[in-house]
Amino acid sequence: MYNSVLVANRGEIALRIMLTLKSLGIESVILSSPVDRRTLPVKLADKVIELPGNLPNESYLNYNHFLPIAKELGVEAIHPGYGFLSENIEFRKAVDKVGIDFIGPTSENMQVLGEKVSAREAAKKAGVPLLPGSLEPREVDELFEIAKNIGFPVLIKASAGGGGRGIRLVNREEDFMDMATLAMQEAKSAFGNPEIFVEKYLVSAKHIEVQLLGTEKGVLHFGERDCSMQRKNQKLIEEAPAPSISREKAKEIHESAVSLGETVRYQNAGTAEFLLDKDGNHYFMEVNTRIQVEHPVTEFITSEDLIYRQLQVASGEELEIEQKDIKFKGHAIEARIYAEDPYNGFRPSPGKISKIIHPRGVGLRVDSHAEPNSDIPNFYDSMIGKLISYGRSREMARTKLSIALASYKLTGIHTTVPYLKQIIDSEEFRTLKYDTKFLENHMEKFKPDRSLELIARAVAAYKQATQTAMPSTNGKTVDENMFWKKSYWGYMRW
Amino acid sequence: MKKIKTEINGIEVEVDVEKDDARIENQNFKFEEDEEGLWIVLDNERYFVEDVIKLSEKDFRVHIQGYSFDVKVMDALSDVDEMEMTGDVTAPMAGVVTKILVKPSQKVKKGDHLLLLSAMKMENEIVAPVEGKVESIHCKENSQVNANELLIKISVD
Repeated sequence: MYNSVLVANRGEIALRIMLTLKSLGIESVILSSPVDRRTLPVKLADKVIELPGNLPNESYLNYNHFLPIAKELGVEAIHPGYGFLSENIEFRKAVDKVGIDFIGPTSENMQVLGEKVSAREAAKKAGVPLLPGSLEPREVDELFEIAKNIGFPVLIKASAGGGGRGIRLVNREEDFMDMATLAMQEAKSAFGNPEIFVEKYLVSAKHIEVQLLGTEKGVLHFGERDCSMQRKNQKLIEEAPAPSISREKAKEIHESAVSLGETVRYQNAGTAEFLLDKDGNHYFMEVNTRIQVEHPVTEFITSEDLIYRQLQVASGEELEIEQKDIKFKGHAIEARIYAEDPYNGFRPSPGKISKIIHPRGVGLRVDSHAEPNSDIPNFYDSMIGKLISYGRSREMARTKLSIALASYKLTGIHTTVPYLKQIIDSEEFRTLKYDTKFLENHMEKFKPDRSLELIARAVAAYKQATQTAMPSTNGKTVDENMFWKKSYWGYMRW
Repeated sequence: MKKIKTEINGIEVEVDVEKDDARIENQNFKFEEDEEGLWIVLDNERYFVEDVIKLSEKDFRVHIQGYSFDVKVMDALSDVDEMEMTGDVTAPMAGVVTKILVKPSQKVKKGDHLLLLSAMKMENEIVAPVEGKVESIHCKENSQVNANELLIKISVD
């Protein structure tokens, strides 16, 4: 096991990784951009590498700056968390070069699975079902022929995309050529690789994924998660086990995932993602070669610490568990708390948290770095944290999560808290009648009560009339609203 | 009694405010302040106001029952909405200008894309609020801008 590990990330995941490091008596080294200096993970770290700027390129992506310092500090391994450098092959190679271990898969794993076309080829080789579509790179008119054969709607995907990025839906044959040309240009500018492919689009699908851990001896799985409650391909609520499939079906999907992992000789933690159609057939989607945001639901039902397992694998320590030792008990659900206004187009809401009291209780886990007066900077992802509940049954976990969301006190910025509560309280969520498009198709369903909106108007008018309004506690977001009105905002989550 | 116009997400509603209560569309909202803070009584139900943040002279963020609303207030009689019809395009929030899509003296229509502003990993399209000509550009690509900062001036014919 290591003596010193660098956490090359920030926020809740940096804190999460650090807790495992501390519990093992490993020295924790962290990165900090200037705006993050007072955050919880930086406060708790044993050593801090200060970064020269706040922009991602100057800070958490700036490995030319921090790698030599890490080496000098005696760091033996780097945990990249999710996002930032976690799936960056150049970074992976640079880490190798300075002689530090990377807590994650091999660069070959990342190469094959990070690129969609080669990932599909690997899945095919592993005998994993694929959606009809193109395999090897082709010219646009060839892709058009393939699209016509499989039938519209189809998806055009950037080969180098992932995590919901670089995907276009084409409903009509006559739009295909224009969209494909545009998609190639976009892929080139966004990912530096113009390669695209087409895939059958499932009108109604569930998102099921399998947690993998590749070891020297082979690939283990830690069961599946259902992440079907999404908005524009971004997950909002995740749970384990997947409630809408039989255990036989789950086993089949686990086997597909493990087979794929074995085929590429996968090392360390990763997630194989699948789509499940209305008839219960599963198809390969992609592999995420990192620890995922939603790993806590798996940890709850397996009583495992996945970060610990990652450290074991990376350091070459033999695992004391085999597949038969990984047992599942109970049900866990996670809700992602973002600093966004769910009732105003999910507009980002950076700024200062005024009051915050995290919910607590038996079977409740809060993964968050946010504290009173925490600043949620605009430079990075808007996630404030995750709320995860555990119960013997799905309904028990759901009820706990609902109560936890209702008791969340979080003011100063807009968050997804009330929206998440509306979703998990909905009839559709309770009775499993939703697919990955549910939230987009039911935008009007989740709105604040009109009486609450009127109360807010009355309160603002009263404050204005009586001039007793509290002084601004939100210096950084002053007057956002005034300017909001002037421009229309489209958005795209990366 | 004071008439105050309130606006949430572009929708205006007039509020009549008295000393301890307010009326909207014949509904009565009673205010009670105690050491804990502000309470509202509506139809015999009490609602606690969790937080009110003054974002600017005329903008309040009201937190109630887990929900948050940004409310713009205007004196119904005296205040003219000075924001309408001006060609000043400002940053709705702090972020990084990732792409400028127009050039000086270019003609633009209302709704045309002017630039992309990236905040919290999201790309936001900033569009022209009015029809006119791009008079001047006040930001650079890949530069950080603060909320409210002037980005582009459009001259209205």
